[in-house]
Amino acid sequence: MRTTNRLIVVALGAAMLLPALSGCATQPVATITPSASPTNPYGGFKVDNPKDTDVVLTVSGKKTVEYTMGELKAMADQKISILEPFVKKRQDFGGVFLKALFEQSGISPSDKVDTVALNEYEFADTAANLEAADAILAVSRDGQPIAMDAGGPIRLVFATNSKYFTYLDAWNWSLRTIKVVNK
Amino acid sequence: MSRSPETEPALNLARPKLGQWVMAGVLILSIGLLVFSSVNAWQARATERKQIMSEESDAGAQIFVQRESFNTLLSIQDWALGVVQARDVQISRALLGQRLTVITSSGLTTWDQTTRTYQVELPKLDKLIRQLSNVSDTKRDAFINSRRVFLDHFRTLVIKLNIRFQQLSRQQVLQVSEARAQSELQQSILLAVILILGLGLSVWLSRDIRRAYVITRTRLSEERNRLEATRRRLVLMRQLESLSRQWLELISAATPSAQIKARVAEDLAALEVDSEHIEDSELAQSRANEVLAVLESRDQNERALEYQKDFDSVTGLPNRSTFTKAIDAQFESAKSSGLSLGVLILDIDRFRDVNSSLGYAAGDDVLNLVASRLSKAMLHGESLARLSADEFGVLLQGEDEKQVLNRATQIANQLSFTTELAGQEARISVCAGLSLNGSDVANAAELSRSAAMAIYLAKAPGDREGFVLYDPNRHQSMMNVWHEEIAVRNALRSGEFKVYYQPVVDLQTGQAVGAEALVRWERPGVGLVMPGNFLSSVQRAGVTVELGWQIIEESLMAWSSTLSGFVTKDLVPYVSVNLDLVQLQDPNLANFVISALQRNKVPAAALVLEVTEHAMVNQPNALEQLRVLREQGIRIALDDFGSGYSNLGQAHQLPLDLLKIDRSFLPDAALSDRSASLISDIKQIADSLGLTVVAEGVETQEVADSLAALGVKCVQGFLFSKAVPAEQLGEWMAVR
Repeated sequence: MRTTNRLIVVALGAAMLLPALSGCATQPVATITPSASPTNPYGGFKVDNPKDTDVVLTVSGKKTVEYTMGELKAMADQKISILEPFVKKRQDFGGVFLKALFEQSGISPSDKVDTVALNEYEFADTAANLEAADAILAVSRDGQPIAMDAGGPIRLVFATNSKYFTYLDAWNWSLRTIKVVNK
Repeated sequence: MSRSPETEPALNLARPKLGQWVMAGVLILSIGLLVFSSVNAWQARATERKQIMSEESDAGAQIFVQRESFNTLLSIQDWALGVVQARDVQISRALLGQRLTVITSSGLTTWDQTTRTYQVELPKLDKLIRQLSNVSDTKRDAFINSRRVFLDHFRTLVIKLNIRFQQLSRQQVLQVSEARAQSELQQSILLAVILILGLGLSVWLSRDIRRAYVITRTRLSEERNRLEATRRRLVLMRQLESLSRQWLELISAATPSAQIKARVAEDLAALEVDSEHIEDSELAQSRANEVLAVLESRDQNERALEYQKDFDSVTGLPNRSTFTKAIDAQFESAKSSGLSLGVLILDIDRFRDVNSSLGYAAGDDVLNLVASRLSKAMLHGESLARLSADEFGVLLQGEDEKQVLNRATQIANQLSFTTELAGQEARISVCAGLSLNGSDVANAAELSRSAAMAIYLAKAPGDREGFVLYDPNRHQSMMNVWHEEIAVRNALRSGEFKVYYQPVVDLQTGQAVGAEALVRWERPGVGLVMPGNFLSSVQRAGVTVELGWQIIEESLMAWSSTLSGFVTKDLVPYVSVNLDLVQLQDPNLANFVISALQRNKVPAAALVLEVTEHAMVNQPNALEQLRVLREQGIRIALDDFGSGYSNLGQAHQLPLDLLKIDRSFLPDAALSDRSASLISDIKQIADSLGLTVVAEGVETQEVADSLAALGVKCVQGFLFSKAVPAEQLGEWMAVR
């Protein structure tokens, strides 16, 4: 009886010690102050955004439509507020549904479209998926044009409730072309 | 020996022990922790998977940093070749800047993950890029060439970022592995704890269950043994019950003890009780002992009865039976030896008074005192016995009668002494009667009877001293009186006393108004004996009250059978019964009479009780009883009025209804003037007191006429009828 009770006490002690065994330490990382731009701590210097008359986007479907910065700003009828997943900050974006641009170029939902950035980054998906994800082509951030070193001048964003909100490959920055790539 | 369920400590098989509760608690806690830990690990992996999708992974971000760095360098190269403008290079650098702001899943920006040299050299690249817009197209190549070393150096740094990123990636992998290992270790420890606790608890519980099983099995076995013992006991008890009945029947049938004991031993041996079952043996022996105790009790009782048959229980002296045997034996012996024998009977004076006044214990003390004195006085050849309540007998013997007489005198004198009884001084004395075995005594029985007669004579009132020696000639008359008393007693027991009824007639109507009950003795061999010849013997025999009750009972029965047939709406004929002074002294008189009326269903008005004036006047208690009876409706008659003791002055104080004029007033032939005058006076007084006058002894019509002329209403006498049995009275009344 007494041996059994001692065994219980040992087992209890072991069980209580478990949390202590599960500790984990994180090493601090030393930083160097980078050269900043007005819009980016690591931007280095200011890069002017395109003028409203500059063509910033070409959408090619059944027909190809080129959009100037001004036209896109004019089309921007959507506003969303999201916790931007790359910089982890709450930001307000203004823009236009990609679907509206697809319609302008005669891109049907079944078409597979390729989005291409200024640095040639590509993301391809069906128009239907992008429409279903309510993909927005943002032209402003926090009421200002999106800086070049902040993914500007135009970029794809998704609302928090969108199925692509956590699908970061779809968040194409500094977009310049959308084209159908069925074949 | 098996333990009884009551004395065995209760084992609670269903309730786990405190330690088991604690152990189970810890086990559950450990399982909880394990589940919690597993869930946490699963959640961590799920989060990890989610982050892979929702967050820029470190590796991805690092690749993009390298890619954008190379893009920038390529743009510069393209600028030198004139393919792109300075703005395009700036845009490339802007896109690199954008990539450096990305916060990866490790929580760091990609900038933080670059090497220190990269971070130091990047601003220099920025400076170079800013200078591009100021360089003319022709000098682009030269400009770049002049900075070729730096650009190559920077390219190398970008390439080396790969090493840095690999280190970081390894670090991350290590951290994740470490975390997973830690989590798995934690889970393993918990699992081990659970296993140990589970195993321990299982062992503990199984040990308890095994122990409980063993105890339960033991108990069941004990219970089975107990049931078997009970069954065996029941069978044994049935056998013993049957045997006991047989043994008790033998005891009842007066079978000799030795035979019964042998039978009991034989039956016990035949029972085949297993010697291992001591309780069964004890039970059988116990039952046998009970029966043997009954046997012993029977034997003791027999011995006691045997003793009582021959000895007196109070004094321890031989009793009458033994004394009689002794007389028989010595009488025959004396005949041949020529010795003189004497039977001396001693009766303690006023012994009944001692018993009634001081109690039976004092009476026993007296008996023992007398017995003791007599025992001490006995000589060789003499026998002593207690014959009855206060009678002792001594068988004396001597060379001649004189010697026996002297012994009798000595003994009688020794029994006159003073002692203390119940704290009071008391004088003890005896009366004694002696008979001798003279030549005229034929046998021992006669010697005994003579002694009994002598003590009877000795008890008679009068002064006496010593003892009374029985003399057949001198005591014959006394013997006659004694025999008469015995005859009276026997007559009462055998119903020889009969009640006759003399009618009382109404002189005006000539009809009987009642009848006086008069007792007669129909004595076998003698004939009808009138009361005057036996009442004194009745009185001496002490059976007056008993006879009186018998007469009342019989008279009421006669009324029910005979007189009740002559009841009319104007007349309830009565039966009158004489009450003796002794009856009046009996406190049960009223109760007896009332219950006798109820018993015989006779109305109170049909009974008249006749008492003498003397009895009423001298017995205050009698007066009270008569008043009670009168209140019940029974009438009281003053009998024999005028016979000597008469006091008319007191008559009005007595509870009376009738006045019976004594027959001495009435001559046989005719009334004299004096008698007529006296009767007239009596009649007037009776009328004034509201009493009915009845005249007795009327034997002639002339007397009857004279009495009628004097106003006497009722008479009785031979003129009308003598006393007759109840049946004849009915016949007589029927023809009137």
